[in-house]
Amino acid sequence: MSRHQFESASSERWSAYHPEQEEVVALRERRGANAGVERRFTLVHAGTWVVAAGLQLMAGTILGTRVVSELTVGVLLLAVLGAVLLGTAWWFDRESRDVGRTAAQRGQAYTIFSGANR
Amino acid sequence: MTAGTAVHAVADTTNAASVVMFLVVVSATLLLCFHFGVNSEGIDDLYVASNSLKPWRNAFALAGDLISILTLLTTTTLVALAGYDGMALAASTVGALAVLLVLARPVRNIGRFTLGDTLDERFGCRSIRVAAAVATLSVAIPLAIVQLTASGRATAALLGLSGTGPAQLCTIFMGTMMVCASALTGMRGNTMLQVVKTVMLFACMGLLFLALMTKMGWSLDRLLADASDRSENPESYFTPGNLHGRDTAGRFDLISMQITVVLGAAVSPHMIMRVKAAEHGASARRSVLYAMTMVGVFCGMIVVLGLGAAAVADGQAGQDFDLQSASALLSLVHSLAADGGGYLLVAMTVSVVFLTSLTVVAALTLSAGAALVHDVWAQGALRGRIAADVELSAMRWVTPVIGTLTVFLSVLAQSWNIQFLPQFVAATAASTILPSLVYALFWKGCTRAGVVWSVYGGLGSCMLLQFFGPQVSGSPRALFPAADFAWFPLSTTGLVSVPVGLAAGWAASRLTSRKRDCGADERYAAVAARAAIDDDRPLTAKG
Repeated sequence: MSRHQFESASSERWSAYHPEQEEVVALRERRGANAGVERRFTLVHAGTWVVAAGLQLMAGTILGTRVVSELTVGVLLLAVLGAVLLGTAWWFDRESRDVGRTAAQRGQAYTIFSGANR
Repeated sequence: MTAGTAVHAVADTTNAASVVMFLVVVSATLLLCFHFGVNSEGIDDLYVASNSLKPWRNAFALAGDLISILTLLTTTTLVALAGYDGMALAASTVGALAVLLVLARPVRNIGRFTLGDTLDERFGCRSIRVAAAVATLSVAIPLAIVQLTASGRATAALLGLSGTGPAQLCTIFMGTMMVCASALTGMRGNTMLQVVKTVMLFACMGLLFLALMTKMGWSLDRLLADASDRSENPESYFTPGNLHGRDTAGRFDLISMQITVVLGAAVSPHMIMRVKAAEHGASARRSVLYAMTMVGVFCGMIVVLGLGAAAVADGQAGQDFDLQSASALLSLVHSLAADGGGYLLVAMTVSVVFLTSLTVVAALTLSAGAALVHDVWAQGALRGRIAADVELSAMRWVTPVIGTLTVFLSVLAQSWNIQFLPQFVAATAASTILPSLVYALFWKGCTRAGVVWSVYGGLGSCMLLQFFGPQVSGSPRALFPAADFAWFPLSTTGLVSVPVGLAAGWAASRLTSRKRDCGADERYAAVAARAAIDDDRPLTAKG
């Protein structure tokens, strides 16, 4: 439904509509939902790096152990690290998009700040 | 075979065809610069391409911004020489974009062009703009010097010229091209050049990868075994500590290097401006995501090529190339070129080195010019009371001046050992730009003084610790090898300077009253709301 149709269909409601307040409230809610996604993403990444750093500090020699033929634990660790980084990045993008969609389905009106895309 | 002889051997494979191909690339680049220079319209177009870049195009450019000459040459050499430590550096480069992924949407939505605009949107004062400009210049100018110096050396080597003089001449040539590119093109032109560069880079790396793996019989085992056999420490090649040592300081130095790269590499001022060029917040986030995937693939290839450089070395890898000349990739190109397709590989590598340096330095010069003209002069000194076309013409003058100064300093730096500069730049970005951005965008309790002190605290600690570190004095590879006033044990300062930057911002925010920042709460509410805007589509309710 376009904004024009939305305005026509609920003209009575629209007369008592304070767009800036609704926009701010809606965007704050979206911000809150986003913050959760950002927090989880940051925690997973920080945790992964802390584990990798801990292994390098405490168990450096273990990383040289060969697992399969010439492939060592260290090489595998870095490969897993890279996979976690890329995998969670795609998850983060999907979740961030879903936050907006879910909010729209809940029936909240989202418009944009005119100044945000100056 | 020493680094010098490897260089001469590369030169033997360089024939007229490769030089012609290189000149074609140079001419095409100049034509692109002229084309987009003529089409550049207005101050919005110059700084952020009028916020018009689609995700994929911006992603190619963003990947091009992150893949500098250092990533291309130094990381390859580090993988070849230090095995695990080099691979950890490559993984950290990918991780750097994860930081930018979280910041992308707020950074895109808040502030118009520069880092100063973003910080000023929250607090609205000149001291913030000056601090942002100081942080920008502290990162952009040294990074441009490092890029030009390294590319001058590499181009001279690939063209078969050795010694400081030819390297200085190549630096002047590259620098002149860079000044032309930065003076003629704005963000839009630079984006096109970055896209061309990234495509050529992937083509070149892909060719080298195919040639190497064919030579290795597509056996990863053989590659790993040969690389470790040719290294100085075959038993410990795949364990941490080959670069900085296995004592406590060496282990912490490796951690510090990774933290610094993860937190600092992707928040450089030119990347902040690049994110702002996206068409909306969701586009900025997607650009970073696609760029991260591309950089991940690139770093995977860099690791394989680094191992390949060690595996195909004539003698021990450490005798074939060293860290200062960062010539592992050049040595590998020579070796693969000798097997066939020589001129094509050499010409592509020269062109990629040229384009990589040119585009990144042009972007850095643009961000440095924007910091001076937009933040300090137009919005700081004149408080925004300036016509857009006056600012535009000021940029057209200031950018070449900054470029010329950078070229001059790069030529001087050819005779110095400036190995500490890349770490210093990454640590400065991680200790100044990241804390100030995180506080300004995500912390309600942050004050104006908090942001200013996170910048100056981080920068001061970086400079102090780097100056008294092992890369400036006290070792044969230091800037002043004869002197010894080093007391700080780490060559990369991020492990200490990032917490110092964060602590300085936190302490200043706690110690100063928020009442002094007029309308701070309202500004934070507006910033928080704007940061949440995803795209331009109005999402309307069902009822």
